[in-house]
Amino acid sequence: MNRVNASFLVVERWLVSAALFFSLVSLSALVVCCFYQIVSRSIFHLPLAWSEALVRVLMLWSVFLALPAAFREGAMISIDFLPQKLGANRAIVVIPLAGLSLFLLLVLVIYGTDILGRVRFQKISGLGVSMVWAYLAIPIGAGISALAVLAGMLRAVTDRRLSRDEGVAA
Amino acid sequence: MMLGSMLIGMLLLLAIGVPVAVAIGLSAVGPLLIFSDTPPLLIVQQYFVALDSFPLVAIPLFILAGNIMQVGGIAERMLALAKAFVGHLPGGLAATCVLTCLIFSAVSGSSVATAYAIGGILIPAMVKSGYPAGFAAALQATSAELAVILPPSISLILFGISTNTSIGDLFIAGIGPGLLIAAALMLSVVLYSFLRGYKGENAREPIIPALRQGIAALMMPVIILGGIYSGIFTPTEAAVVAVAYALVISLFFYRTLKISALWSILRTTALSTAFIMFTIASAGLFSYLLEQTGGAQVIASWMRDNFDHAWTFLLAVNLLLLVVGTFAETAVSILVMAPLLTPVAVAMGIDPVHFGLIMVINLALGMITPPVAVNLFAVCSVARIKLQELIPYLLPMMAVMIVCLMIVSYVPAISVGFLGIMK
Repeated sequence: MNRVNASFLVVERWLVSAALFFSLVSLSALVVCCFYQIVSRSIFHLPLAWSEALVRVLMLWSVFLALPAAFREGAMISIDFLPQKLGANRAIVVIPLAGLSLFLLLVLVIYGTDILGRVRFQKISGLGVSMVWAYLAIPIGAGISALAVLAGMLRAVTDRRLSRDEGVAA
Repeated sequence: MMLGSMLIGMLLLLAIGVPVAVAIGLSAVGPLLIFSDTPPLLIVQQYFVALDSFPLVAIPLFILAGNIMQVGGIAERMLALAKAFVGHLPGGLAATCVLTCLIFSAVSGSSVATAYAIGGILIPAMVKSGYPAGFAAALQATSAELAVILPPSISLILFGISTNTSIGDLFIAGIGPGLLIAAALMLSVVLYSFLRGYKGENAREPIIPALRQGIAALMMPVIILGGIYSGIFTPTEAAVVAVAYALVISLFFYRTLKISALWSILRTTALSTAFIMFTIASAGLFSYLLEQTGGAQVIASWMRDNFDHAWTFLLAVNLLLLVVGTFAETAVSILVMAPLLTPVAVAMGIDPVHFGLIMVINLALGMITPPVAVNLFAVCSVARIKLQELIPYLLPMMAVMIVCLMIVSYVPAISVGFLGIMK
């Protein structure tokens, strides 16, 4: 594997882990916030105006930041009857399937970035901050997921090359 | 053109093995970019709108609560409790499997999670006691379906959100059918075991200590349903209370959970949530386009014209959903089909809550019918057997499920009857 590819894989692994870390932080914050909402209303009789909005934004971030790891670790469930028949680890099977995922993710990155300009002046009701802070999760999560899928394709190709080299050596 | 390419595209992409969420997303995005003049920014907007919902937050929270319970060793306690009750019957361990799934279903909303959690313990135990591995796996896969029928079922939450039906009502209505299916399965395995000569467990364990150990876990559904029904909290808030309750009992009451395990529980939860939510977002766009292209209305009006009685309609819906459930993933089937079919059902005088239960039981049946049978894949990987080994044992269990489905379809009192008592 050449140096460019190897460093790409290192960066990709680092980004996916960082995204997952922040996803878990969002998820924990969501639990705390939602719990605080109940306590505040039912014990202190102070209904909160901002908590539901914040919880929704946190869920969006938690979902999109865990997406790269879900793609990377095969948590995205598929019907793998046909790939199994054809040999699930062969590059010729892996690459077209990954290519389709990559396409959808790139669509989300492109239009997800595009939409940021449109929603810039809209406010999230209850929180009073720009909608950009919610929408931003989509292009960032989809972008890192795209890198993860690309890395998977790269690994499939280099693995095949490795096994072919071994075949020659034998 | 657009409608056709969406539906055919989805089936094709699913068949070649594209991840479910991606297949649905692409089958909407592709036709939208090619055939329609809808602005593409709508894609991102629909992905956002589909997830920007407070009731939906109940899903990751219930998954989290289930995961905490599972790591906290709650499954073993439920198993001990079930065994104390039915372990001595003929086929005691098999009956225990059904009862444990029934109890675990009250804290878990996902049947795959239940299949892994209970199957991981019970399938090896059953094989060790001399049951065929195929029988153990088939029974586990079938019993695990209870998790999507009994509250807190993720499928029922999805149905509630996509059709604006009260999630609390759906939860209550799930109790009757869940108990019916559990009883029918239990009766069948005991009868079957009696005929085949499978013995019960020798030493009968005392019930009281097992009950004392299991009672904290059994309180969970009481808290969830009681809280929602008395109006103290919404389903989402009930879910966070479930998380807090699961944490408290496994950290302080059972003391089986270490704080250090929390991070990996969160990790598992985030990964399965990412999958489900990305699927929901893709299905959101898909349903939106189906509505926009008029496809939804075409299907609905065709149904209205061709079925003039509620009972023929229900029969047709059952057949349709059995086919759909065989091929499609449950969350997707609900998100796409429920908004289409429910208005037609309501127009025919069927209670939407009753209809929701019919849909969910149907799709649960789909989870054990190949080729797309998530429960079967789960138990096969736990039992380390091939799919064909469990099929002969599976068929009679499916027959039991189908009979129960028919009873639930034509006797509304089993599902919505409980509502009348509660209200």
